[in-house]
Amino acid sequence: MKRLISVALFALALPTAWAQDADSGSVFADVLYTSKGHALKNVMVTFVDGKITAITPGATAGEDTPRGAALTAGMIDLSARVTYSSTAVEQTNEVEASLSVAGALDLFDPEWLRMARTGTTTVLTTPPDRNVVGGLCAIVKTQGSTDIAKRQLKGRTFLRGAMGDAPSSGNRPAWGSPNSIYNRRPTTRMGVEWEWRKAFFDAAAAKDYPELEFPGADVFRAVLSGNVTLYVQAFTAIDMRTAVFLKEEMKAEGFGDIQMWLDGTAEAWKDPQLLQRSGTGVVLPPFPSNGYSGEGSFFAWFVAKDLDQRGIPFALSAHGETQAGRTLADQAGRAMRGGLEFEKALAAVTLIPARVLGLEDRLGSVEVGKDADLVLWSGPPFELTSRVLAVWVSGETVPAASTTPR
Amino acid sequence: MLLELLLSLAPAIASGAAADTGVVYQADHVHVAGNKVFSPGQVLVRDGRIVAVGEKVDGGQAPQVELHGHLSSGLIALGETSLLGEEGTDTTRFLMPEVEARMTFDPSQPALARLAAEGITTVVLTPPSYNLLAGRGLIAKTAGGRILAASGPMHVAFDSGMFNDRPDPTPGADFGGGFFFFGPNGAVNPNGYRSSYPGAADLLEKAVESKDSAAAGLKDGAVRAWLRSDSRAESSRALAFAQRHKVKGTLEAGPRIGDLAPQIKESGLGIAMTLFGERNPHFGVQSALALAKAGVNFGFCLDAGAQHPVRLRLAAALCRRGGMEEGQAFDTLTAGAARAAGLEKQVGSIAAGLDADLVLWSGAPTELTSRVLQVWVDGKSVHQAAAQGAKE
Repeated sequence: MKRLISVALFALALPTAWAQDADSGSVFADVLYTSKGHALKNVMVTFVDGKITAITPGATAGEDTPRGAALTAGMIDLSARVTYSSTAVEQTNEVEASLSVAGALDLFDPEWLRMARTGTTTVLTTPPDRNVVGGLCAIVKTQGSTDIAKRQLKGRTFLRGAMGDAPSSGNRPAWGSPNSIYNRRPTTRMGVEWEWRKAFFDAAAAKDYPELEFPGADVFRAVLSGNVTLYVQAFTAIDMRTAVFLKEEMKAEGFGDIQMWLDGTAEAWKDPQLLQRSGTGVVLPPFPSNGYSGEGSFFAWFVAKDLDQRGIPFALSAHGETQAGRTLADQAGRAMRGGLEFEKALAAVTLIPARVLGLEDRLGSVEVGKDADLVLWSGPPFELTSRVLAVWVSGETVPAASTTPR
Repeated sequence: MLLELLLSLAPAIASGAAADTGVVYQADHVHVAGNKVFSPGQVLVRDGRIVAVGEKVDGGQAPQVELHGHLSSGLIALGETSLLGEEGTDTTRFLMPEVEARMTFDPSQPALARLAAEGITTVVLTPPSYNLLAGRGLIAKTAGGRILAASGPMHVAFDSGMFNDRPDPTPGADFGGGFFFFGPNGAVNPNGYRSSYPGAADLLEKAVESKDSAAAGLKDGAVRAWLRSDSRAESSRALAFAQRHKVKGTLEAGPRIGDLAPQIKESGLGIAMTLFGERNPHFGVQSALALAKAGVNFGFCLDAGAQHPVRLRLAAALCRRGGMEEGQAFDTLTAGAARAAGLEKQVGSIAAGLDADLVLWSGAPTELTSRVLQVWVDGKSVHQAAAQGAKE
């Protein structure tokens, strides 16, 4: 009822709002792919104050209405590594759970505009993988206020860390006198794994033994109680196993049931039963052209289809890259080339990441009441021959990129 | 009461001019502030202070001196780091809110005389940016060595001085050559340096909230702050910090700060803009115009170790060329810069009660073709172009 009233109010406000507001307008497409399995023909989508207010199939386009072959929801990248530098993660501590990467984002970076232009409207940004536990992630739209407090979306909280090679490479064993963080930090996968387990065990035990308390222990306890999602980078099969075993160990110990998503899990195909058994979802890294992804992992284009057939939840990521051929839309196209159906590929860059973020009520599909994050395509989405004609982020048009090559 | 009287007399006695009758300077043009110019005009100076200004002033017994040219108040350079140099901070400590740069200030250094010779009479000296909290800066005259406030603004870094991600200097250390293989210097890390923006910001919050730290004085503007930033992201973090804690003071910022003009106006902070020059001044000029339009008080930083002091006037000249009206461009060098640094009750314009820091120019002060003919600081003539061999 409340929604009906608000729609009616929007309709009343429409004639004036239309003319004045930068975040109101309408768009026409030959086909609208809603991300929920519907393909509506000749659709007019209207939005007011950044929210979709009407979806009208069988409409005719006005003269001034932007028009394209297809319309989809704005894409969501769960592993956008934008403004990803060594200064975004606190490296004086291996396990740094309480700091957020939000404090390091450069919202003036032109990469945000490039991501928006290529159809990515929301991203999960993570602290860089130089720490075992790097801190909290931030959910932001790719356009909007340059004030991080206003730009950040309130979805689920993610604690980010890494297994494997990344947090240990470059560190030196403590021969002689230890004089640097490089020989305080782990130098092997085993050392990285030890840091993870120690943090969880200390955080859990600190309830009874306060001397084990450490800064950020409360975040680990929130992970154990399922209130914070644990988001672990694990490219290779051994790192994926280590991460899942950690989750299972915490459950076996009675510490809690961890909500876990794995990032960059190129070798998910090597042990899908493990993912099925533990209910862990994966964010696939960008598809490589030579078969190899991060840390020497092998990653083929059929992996998305394989995971889909096994019912393992997954999302696609471009790691925030915006070069032609490496965008999020290109990743969806490659997953289709590997055998994934279009609707599944669309969901893997819209609806599924929206659910993971806990923002399904706002993002991830084109429905009345949701954010007007829209992508207008010149042809079938994700096809190599299609391009993005226009993008709206919260109803605001993104300045168009030139279509003629320089 | 008696003590107060004695104290108020003390400077006059000290200067040995208890019966100073003062002097009336009569000039072809007297630039008071902004667009306000008396042509001709008179300025009555007594005991190092300006007593009166107008088309005609009542000087009493004071002798009148005829000056040919334009008389303005002395220029103000904000954010001078090179004059304190490496001695201006201590890199073994990350949080030093209590230290004071005046302890290391050398008022006799020749660089100050060079500033005075270009009409710059007040300079805000800032410590090099190697600390999150680098202590109190210093505001000084360029001649006579007078320090304006007992303690300058407290420095807070939001730029890369906020953390230390320099590579480990240990010989033979292997960084792998990759971009991420830079990390905090092990030698200084035990003293509390952090390696990242979020880590340093967290430490800053704790210092400001701590009763034991002098940094707590930043809250509610009890102590004036000098917030140092470079990129727009850093400036916007500094602004958020200032608004969160109701900080009063100055934000030092890079050439694209104009994009944040509305937020700056709201914050009440003054701006010390990084100097821009003949090379690629576009963003700096656009920012200056945006700040002026928003009504933000701002001036320019000058790094006299690397820049010729005339570059300060070059910045204002480029603003004029970019479309800024003359009075506003003049204020970026004088009254606006004074307000940006909280000095408007002491320097920056020719007004009764302010320090008699005056510059005689051959033409309008914002014109680059104008030369400095004579400079007075606290009423004393400190530079004369003719005496230095320059032709009239």
